[in-house]
Amino acid sequence: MMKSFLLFGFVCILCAQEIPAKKLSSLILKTAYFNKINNDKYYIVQKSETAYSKELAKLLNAKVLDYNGFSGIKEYANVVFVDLSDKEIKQAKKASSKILTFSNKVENISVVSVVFGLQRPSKKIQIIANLSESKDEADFRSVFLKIAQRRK
Amino acid sequence: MNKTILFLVILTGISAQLPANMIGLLINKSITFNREEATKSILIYGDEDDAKLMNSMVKGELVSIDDFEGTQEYVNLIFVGISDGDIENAKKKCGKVLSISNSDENSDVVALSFGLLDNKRPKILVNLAIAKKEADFKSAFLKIAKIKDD
Repeated sequence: MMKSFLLFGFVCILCAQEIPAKKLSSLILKTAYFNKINNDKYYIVQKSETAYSKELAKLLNAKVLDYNGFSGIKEYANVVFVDLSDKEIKQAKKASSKILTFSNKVENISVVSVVFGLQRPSKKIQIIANLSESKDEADFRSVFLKIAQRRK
Repeated sequence: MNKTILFLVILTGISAQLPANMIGLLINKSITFNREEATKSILIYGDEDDAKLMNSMVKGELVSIDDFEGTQEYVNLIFVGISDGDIENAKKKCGKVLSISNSDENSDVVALSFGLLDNKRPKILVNLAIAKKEADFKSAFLKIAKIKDD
């Protein structure tokens, strides 16, 4: 029994590959650029500071907010939820006005507009847009559909 | 062993799905935004009942996953009740296709997938890395989830 759970945990860890902070920041900047609703404000919402979230904040020049004691964001901004659960993200969104939401975890795709991850086992960049959320949060230019396109 | 079964049952219960006929309608709407015109739709099923219901809207060809031999035509390949692994294997047998799934759990391996939001509205997921290879969507596609009175 214990072995099955350990194996399951191991498989989960293997599946969940985190996208490097540098790549994530560049994709978020690119996504924000494709949003017709102009804004250059970036927030990171996290529960605890990690080397990853610190690097991401630096790259995005983002204001870092702690989830514990979070009282919402009252201006239109690009908000990156780092290592939060769906439930926590939903709560944070409820407390905020209109924002464009991102997550570093593909598993959060039900509650944010765009998530980024790495495909397994190829480690290719994975970008998934939730069109049901993004219609309320952004007004993307058509080129957003080609965000994964490499320059020739 | 019982606990493992319970855990799997809970996981299955969590993944809420849109009704098959609703997915059929959304698929029809989605494919009209693709500039690359598919010759037809093929529904590859694990669950025949759902596939039949969906096909009442899509009007495609029904093929069981076990019988699917691949295609070199550009088609809308719609997976109904199929696992990621089986989808990947099926796609390997094909040339360029537009891959669609009735489950948002397949969002890693298909261009377009559907689920259900908490408020019972449709969840429409686009894997942009896959979609760029498989389709050429018009910009209006980004607003597909928009309802007129929004």
